[in-house]
Amino acid sequence: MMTPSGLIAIHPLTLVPNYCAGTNVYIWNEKTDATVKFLSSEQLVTESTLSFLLANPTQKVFVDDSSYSSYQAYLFENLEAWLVEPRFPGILKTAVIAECFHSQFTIGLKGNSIRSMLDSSSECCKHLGQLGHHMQINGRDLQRVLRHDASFVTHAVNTAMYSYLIAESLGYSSEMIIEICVGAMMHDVGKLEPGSLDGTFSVGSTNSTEWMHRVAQSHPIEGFRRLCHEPGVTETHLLMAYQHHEKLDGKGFPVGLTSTEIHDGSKICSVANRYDGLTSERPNRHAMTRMGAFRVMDSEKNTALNSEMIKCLEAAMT
Amino acid sequence: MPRSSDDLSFDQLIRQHPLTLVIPPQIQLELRERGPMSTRIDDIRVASRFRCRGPAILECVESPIALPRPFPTSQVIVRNLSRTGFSVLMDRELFPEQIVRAFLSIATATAIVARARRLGSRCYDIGFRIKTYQSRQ
Repeated sequence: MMTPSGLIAIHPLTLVPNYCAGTNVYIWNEKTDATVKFLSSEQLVTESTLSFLLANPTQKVFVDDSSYSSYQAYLFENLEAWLVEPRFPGILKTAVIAECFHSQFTIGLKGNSIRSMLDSSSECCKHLGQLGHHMQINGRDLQRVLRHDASFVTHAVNTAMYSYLIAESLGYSSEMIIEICVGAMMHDVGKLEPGSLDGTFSVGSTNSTEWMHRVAQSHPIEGFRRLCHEPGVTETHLLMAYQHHEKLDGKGFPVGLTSTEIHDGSKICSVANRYDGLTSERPNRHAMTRMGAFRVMDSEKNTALNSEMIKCLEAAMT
Repeated sequence: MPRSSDDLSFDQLIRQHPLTLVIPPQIQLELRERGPMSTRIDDIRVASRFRCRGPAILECVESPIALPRPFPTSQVIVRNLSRTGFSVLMDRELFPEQIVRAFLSIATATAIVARARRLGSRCYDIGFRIKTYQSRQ
């Protein structure tokens, strides 16, 4: 279904009991094929609301476009308190952190500069590094709460989340995990149109095949160029943007590097990027199931993708 | 035989920096060709390129701060060149936005790395955009 005009889709599990979302909340009624008001802006979410939403995981929930900033403020102000609250189920915490990522990165994109995108992704990933280990993000929950549309922001957030799972399972330090997550969020920055970095571009859009092909081929170099003069950018960030389409057998692009020449952060990003690409809707094909995606990736292990990293992601998602 | 003092210093530079790259056989065949290169329909280059094999010296001027990859002054093989850029074969990978000073047989240029492609373990095709160009007298 399309998002109704004037509304923005939010994740239902970000409606946290005993808190007030600060904006009117609407749900989609399939019978009437229309949205109906579910909560008013001053109404507290109850435990029964959460139970209803947990029992109906496909329920579509929206907030007013005009008061989306109130919803964002509600998320950011309460995030840390929610994540350490022992009563809340893990899936709710995962949904909240994923939605905060989405929201924060959207704000960064609206800043229309690489700097604002970097700042927002660093802020998100710092939270993930500090709180992710404590709350033990579960891959199955993550799969349920992440969006799977073809938007630039969704792909950036999902790739960062999957990279987090792989890097954590490989035993990287928390500082390195944060660095890898920031690199994963910024890995496709070369796909955004110059002078219009607001993220309106969709991953895999087929508006112009020739233009898309050119972007697909050149975005690792373009991303590198955009990032390399920004203060605070690290070697890991740069190489993740530059090398995430390299393949272990040397048949990738832009350089055609082989296994040992590719940065480990880039190998992690390749696996996360591929998994999200396969499990998300694209204009030319439907999303694959988790098992279908791992079947495809299994056929690409050691030629394109690192097999240990695929195993780590698969173990985390099962 | 050197034609001028500039030529002499260029020849000296070449002698001081032995060639260390290993050119794959299929590229060696291509290097024998001369003349203008055919353009592809999707080519976005602004100027035509000409095949012209010859030695050159590359000196690293600047690397991105986050990726400090200075390299020693090296002898390379020029593969082709145009009014706005040139490409060389080199023994190592360079990264976009690295700035080099190139001593060619007919000119000195400062240039920015535009792209790199691995052709073998010690052979990379590096494309440059020319920033400044000065012919030898």
